[in-house]
Amino acid sequence: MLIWSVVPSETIWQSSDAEQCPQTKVTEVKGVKVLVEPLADGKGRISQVLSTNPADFLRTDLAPGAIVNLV
Amino acid sequence: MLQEENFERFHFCLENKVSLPGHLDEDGGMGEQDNENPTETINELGVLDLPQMMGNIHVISVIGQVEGHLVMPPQNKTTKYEHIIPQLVAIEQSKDIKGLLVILNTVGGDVEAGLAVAEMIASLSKPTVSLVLGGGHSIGVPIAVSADYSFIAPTATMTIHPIRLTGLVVGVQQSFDYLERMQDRVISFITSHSDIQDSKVRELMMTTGELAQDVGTIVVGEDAVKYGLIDQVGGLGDAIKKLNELIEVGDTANRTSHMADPAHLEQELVETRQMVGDLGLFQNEVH
Repeated sequence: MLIWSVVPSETIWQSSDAEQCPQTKVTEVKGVKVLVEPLADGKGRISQVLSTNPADFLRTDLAPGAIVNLV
Repeated sequence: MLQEENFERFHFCLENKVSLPGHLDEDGGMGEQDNENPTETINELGVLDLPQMMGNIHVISVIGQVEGHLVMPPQNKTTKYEHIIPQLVAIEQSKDIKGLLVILNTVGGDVEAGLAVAEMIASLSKPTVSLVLGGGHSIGVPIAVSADYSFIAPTATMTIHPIRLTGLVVGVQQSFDYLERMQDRVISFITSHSDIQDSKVRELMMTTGELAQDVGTIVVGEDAVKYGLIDQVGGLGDAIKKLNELIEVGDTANRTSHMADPAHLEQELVETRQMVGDLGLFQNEVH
């Protein structure tokens, strides 16, 4: 395991406050892979679209911040 | 009876360009009205299709750290190679995707993951163009040069500095040999996918006085082109234009090679003969 980066390794590996960084998970919503932050009641907030299709980034229903059903 | 009514109602709505007031259940009754998400309503009714962007170019953005074998703490913004690699496989296989644009703004990261992504992009059979914005440092360099044609924004920089081990390192000869071999792999990839010379990369890597706490060089837009690392200074417009050109050239080459193929010509001749026979053409001339 070799890291080659301009960011110092202490900055990369420093432990962070877990509260500040929301846990996210990869899931598929309407056929598009997205990174969501799970909320209560089986819903999730989209934090990132992982598609390579630029058109998916124009979809308002998948825009970051949108609430989607995970079930 | 109910269906007829529905149909008339639907027709009325179409003609008068008004939307249906709520969707219809299977039994013809009115369902709950859902104004929260107009897109979903339209999709469920199946009345209208949203205008689709017909793009044949897909994009991969390599941002933050390139994350490989170890999961980095969550304060790091990372591009995970387990996300990128299946996407590249899908792009290679898709019939609709004609080209790939790789956008880089990365601080570096895992050497093996970065090299894996770079090798995947380099071996993609479809046209690829890369664009370095902001920064394409360290392991970002091989990823940037892996595309068929590379662009760098005038303000973007690329830091070329030696690879070194982090964490606990046993200071024995083997550790240094290992690093040396790793560095050679990266340099040979960079030189074989760009116009820069091996000696130049090593020179930039070992320059002193450029970086505050390290040896190495920060190469800015124009310089990257001068050293032969990147093909051209440019932006998004240039990158898309170049990609479209490469796609067109590829298409033409495919067509030409297809036409010039003797086996294909023969096949076409056989088909034409068969068609003529089937149609009974030229019969009058024969008799």
